[in-house]
Amino acid sequence: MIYTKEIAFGSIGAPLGENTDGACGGGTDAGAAQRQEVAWAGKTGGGISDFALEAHKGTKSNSVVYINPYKYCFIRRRFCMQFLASSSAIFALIIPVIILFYLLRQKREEELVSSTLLWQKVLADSISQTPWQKLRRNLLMFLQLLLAALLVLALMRPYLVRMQEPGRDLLVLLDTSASMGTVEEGKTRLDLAKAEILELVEGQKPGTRFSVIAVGQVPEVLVNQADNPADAASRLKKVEPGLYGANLEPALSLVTALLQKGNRTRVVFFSDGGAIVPEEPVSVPDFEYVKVGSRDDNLAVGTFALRDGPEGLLALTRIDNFGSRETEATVNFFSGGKLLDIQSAGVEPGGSAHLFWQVPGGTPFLEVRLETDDGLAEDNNAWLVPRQGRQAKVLLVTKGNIFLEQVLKLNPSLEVHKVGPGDYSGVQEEYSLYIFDGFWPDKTPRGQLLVINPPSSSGLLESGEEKDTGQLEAVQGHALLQYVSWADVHIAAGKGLISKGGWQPLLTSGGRPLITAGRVGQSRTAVFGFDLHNSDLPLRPAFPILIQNMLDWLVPSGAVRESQVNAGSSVELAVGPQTKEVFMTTPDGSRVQLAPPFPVKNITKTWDTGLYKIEQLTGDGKQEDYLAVNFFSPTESQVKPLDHLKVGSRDAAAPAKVRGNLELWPWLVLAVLLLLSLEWWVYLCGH
Amino acid sequence: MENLLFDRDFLRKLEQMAFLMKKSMAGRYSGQHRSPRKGQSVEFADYRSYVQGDDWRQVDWNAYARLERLFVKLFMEEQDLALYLLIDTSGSMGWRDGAKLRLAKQLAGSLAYLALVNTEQVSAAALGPGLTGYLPLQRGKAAVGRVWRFLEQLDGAGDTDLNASLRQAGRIIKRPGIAVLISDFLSPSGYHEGLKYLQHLGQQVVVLHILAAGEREPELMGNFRLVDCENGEAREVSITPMLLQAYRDRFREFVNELRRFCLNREIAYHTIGAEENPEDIVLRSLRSIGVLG
Repeated sequence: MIYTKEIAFGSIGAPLGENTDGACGGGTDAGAAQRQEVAWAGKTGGGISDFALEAHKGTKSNSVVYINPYKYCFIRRRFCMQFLASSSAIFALIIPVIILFYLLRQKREEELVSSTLLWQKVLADSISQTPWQKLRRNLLMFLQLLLAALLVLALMRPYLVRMQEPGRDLLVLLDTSASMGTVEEGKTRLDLAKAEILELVEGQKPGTRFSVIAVGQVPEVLVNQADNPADAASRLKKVEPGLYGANLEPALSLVTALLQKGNRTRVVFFSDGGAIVPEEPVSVPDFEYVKVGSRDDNLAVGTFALRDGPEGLLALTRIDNFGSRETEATVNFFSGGKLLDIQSAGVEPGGSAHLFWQVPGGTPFLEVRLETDDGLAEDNNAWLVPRQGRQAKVLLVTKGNIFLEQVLKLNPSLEVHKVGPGDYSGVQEEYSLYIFDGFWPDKTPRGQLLVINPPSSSGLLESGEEKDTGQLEAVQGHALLQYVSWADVHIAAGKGLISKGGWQPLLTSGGRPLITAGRVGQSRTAVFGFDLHNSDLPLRPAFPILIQNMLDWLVPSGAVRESQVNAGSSVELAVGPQTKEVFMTTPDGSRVQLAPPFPVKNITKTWDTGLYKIEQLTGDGKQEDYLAVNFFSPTESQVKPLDHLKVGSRDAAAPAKVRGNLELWPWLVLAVLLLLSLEWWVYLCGH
Repeated sequence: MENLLFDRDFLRKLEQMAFLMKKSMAGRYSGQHRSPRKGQSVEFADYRSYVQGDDWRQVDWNAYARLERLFVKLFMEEQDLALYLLIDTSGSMGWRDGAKLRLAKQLAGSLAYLALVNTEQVSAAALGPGLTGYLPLQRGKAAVGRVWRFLEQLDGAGDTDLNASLRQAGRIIKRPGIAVLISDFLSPSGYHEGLKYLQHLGQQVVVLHILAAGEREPELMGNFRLVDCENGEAREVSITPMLLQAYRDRFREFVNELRRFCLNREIAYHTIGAEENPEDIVLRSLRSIGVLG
């Protein structure tokens, strides 16, 4: 429904020509010269929501006035005024209060004078000298109302945004890295960015399609080619900052794939700049970077680790100051959940402070807590789990292997028992690890296995034939072969091991696996397909390292191979063969069952920092292990937002110019100050 | 009478003073002031030709001897003076501690004493919205007490209408003389017509304008409801430094306007602060403006 009202504007009018662009489509071209039209278009009007006030001042289409009461949007000459804090409009209630004050009679002190004759004349004089007495009489009230209106407007933080050109799509990239969790005046940067995105999306002309992509370690499309701002609002509401860094490179690859040919798309990246950016030129034509946030003060726990000290274990804590001012850091040290010590240290800007704590014996876990009100809270805590001095019982079954005996002695956490192959049948006790050297029992024991030179009856061999070996080829990057150098290792002859059924070859020669890792039943098993005496491996530095790696894997000290990991890491669990159930208690207190089914899957999501408790329930007991998940990330702890973001060879940062927005509150405050001075002057004049 | 008691020293000084007349006025009794009539005094005035019926004793025989014509010698006659004391007794004169009215009564008492001891006649009238009371012409030193008692019982109350009250005072002003008007002149209806009327009655008018300090420099700042002490009329006003300055300017203009008017009408005018000493006013100020000599 359109209500049309004609308003005479003197000589302004001119022949009406073309219609304005789509933003003000609610207007009509009909009409005569010497008039302007005011068209109020209903929300159901084609192509235009809300209402529009359209003023035609000639044939030029650049004199467009567009008022959108729902979106607080005022557009003139392709500029749109929006508000960062539109909720501050509530302060406009002060205006009726001011009027009420003027309506109320002021309580005045009564004074008896000899005559009011002269006072009447004084008041009459001041009135009679001004022809606009009526207006001036209320001038103070008008000034105060204007002051209040300007203050409310300033509180609403209006800004001008250049309207988007028609026909351009909008693609918004939102940094969801940890640094976006930095608190700025009570709101996280992510919240600020989300609000800005919503305002940007709502300020688009009808018909503009927009997409929103969350930029984390991997990009995630939140909204794809939508044209309803409500879609973006509902999806953005669920986005939270994660404990990871942002990688812009895959996000831009995704953007490139999404960009349609022939359609100009404006790409806007809302971030604080703490993202991995591609160094290669990117093929995104209209890329803009919008800086979010301003504060730079942040203290972080950079390291929390154990060291041997003169009187036992020491916990080392490094406090990093990423801010620009020297800060006093107060750090609380907890052991087993109880406060043990408090230390303070001044940290210079860009510098670090190191604190040492004496670790009490037998403590299950340690925690340091930084007492500060800095930008990012996620990096103010760190946890540490001291390795338990648990002894693993190992049974070595061998005719005699001095190399094995010596290398096992190197590990103090092992309690090694040795028997000959003939005596194995008499072994009653259960061991965590069985090492069979040239031997294979009739019945596979319940425990982890290290098998060296197995006989054909073990079923571990592809063929029992022993062949000469040639060039050795090790699998690159395998955890069991970490730090193991095969350069000067020679093996005279070996049997080919099986590689099917989940067995992973670690060392091969001519395609024949010589060392493999896999499972026999539930038992983790490592197999050497050669006699150690037919090799110079035991004489090389590689041997103790390799055996130690295997022992770590076969008999880890706890359920978790690493007791301290960074947030977001995947954690491999190593539960004992006797374990019947595995539970995990997360930092928020929830308890989830990890097993059965067996084998236990890795913990793939450690997105929260804190202490994870792993419980292994056997038939007759329970073993508890702790996993500390910390967030050590210097790039994310550096919360100072970047003014310029260099993407490829292009500097993509000129936020104010790129967006064309201009915050108006400083000008409003200036106007308020001038008005205040004027009001004071008027007051002194006696009005 | 207590308020009007003056010390003897002051009264003795008063006795040595006299009213100065700008022109001669006809009196009723012999006195110290020249009369427009020619009479019996020793001061020669003029000659005129003898006409039948003239007193032969007045003929200047020396002139007849020289000129052989009869001339009669005329001499000045000295008669008494009528002093009319017109006192504003409106509410504004009794404002606050009544300092203005008290000073007005003291001045009137002093002038009455001065006149009576100089064998002049004195009348007093109280002016409010009209003529609220009067004392007919009194003569002789014995009348001092009566005049003072009349002045003593005057009380400041009621509105001010100088024009109306002066016109009514004309009923008691029977003879030309000196009319001393003592007032604050805060008369909403003005004072021009009244003063002109006094002059019309042949009075040499003397205006003594009494002003209180609180009228000259009001010590007010802020929001006030100013209530007129005469008619209870109230004005709400927010007094600011600027407004106070405007009041001072208006007050100065009010005083200057009265002074200008008096100057133009040859009326002796003097502004008196309510806190001033009456002796100083009479002995110095009134002499300085030529009222007393």
